[in-house]
Amino acid sequence: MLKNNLRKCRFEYNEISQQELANAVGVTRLTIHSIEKGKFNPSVLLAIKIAVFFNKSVEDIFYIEKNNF
Amino acid sequence: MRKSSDIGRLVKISENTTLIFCLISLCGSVFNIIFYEILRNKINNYRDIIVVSDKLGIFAAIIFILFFIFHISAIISLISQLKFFKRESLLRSFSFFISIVSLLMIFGDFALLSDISKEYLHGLYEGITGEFFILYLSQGLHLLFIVLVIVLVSLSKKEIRKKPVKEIVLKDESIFINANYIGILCGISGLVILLLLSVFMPVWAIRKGIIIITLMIALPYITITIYWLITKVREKIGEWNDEKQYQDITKASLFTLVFSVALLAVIFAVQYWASRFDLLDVIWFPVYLFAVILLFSSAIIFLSRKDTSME
Repeated sequence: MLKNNLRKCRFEYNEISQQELANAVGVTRLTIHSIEKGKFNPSVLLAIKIAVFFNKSVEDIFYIEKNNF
Repeated sequence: MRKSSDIGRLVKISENTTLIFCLISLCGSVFNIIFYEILRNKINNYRDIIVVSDKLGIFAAIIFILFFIFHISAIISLISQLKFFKRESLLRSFSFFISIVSLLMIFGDFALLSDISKEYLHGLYEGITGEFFILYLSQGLHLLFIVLVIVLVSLSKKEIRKKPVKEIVLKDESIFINANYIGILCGISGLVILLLLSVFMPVWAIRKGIIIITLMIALPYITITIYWLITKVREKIGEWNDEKQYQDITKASLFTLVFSVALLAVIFAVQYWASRFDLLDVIWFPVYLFAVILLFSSAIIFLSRKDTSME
């Protein structure tokens, strides 16, 4: 399963809400919530949009745990 | 785009109007119940009802009109609440479902009263009990809706006072989720009513009323779906839902396909071997329709709850 640092990124980015991030990348708040909880894998397009929003690379936000390779 | 504070003001205005009509309708509902009880007593005792119906009938007619205005105003309020709060709510979905059924039952009340008067004029006093039973059920439904509206308006006023300006939501999931809650309510109500009809009513009576009953129960779901489509009309079809919603819809559709085929197989088997061929011949489509709405909506709600539940 894909893991992520989304919660941390939001915290570092002026503690923006899930809704604000959802508005910025064009999805619903529930989708952001599911991604944060690790229960939904975003598409490549959405992952890139999120990374661009936080001005980071995709790998800085999304990663796979070593034992899952 | 309209500002959320403007919508908040609209919500307040529509709620205040609804509340006024709600209180008038509450008095009207009590009056109607007393009026119907007087009529029922007189008919049961083989007494003349012409004088009472001439005196009080005009008030009952005015109450019908007020009920109709109240329902329209309450439905507008409910939709503006959905639009303003942008949050899924089982209570709001349930109230929306009851609002449409209760609105249709106003016409049902009118039809029942005209049936009662026809039967009375033909001296068929014994057959009137059934009509009165449905009439009282309908009054119960109107009262339930009035109580729900009072509760919802009070809750909404409290919420608006606490947070007068809501945060901007560009992609709203609440109507989608609420539509599926309403789908579950329609599906369950439809299947339960069909079961009750099959057990307690003769086939000829079911055949007579099945289309109107099916439409009545399915109408809340149809209405909220049309409203959802209206909110999406300016967007491209590919943008109607986000990627997680599309994934949920795909899974829910597969689930619905598998189970609806299984259900149709059961219906086919019953039709093939059972003695009540004539009954299934009449209700197979409503059973299929409500089952599919129930399966699809439950699957969507399950998937959206499962993926967003706290760990």
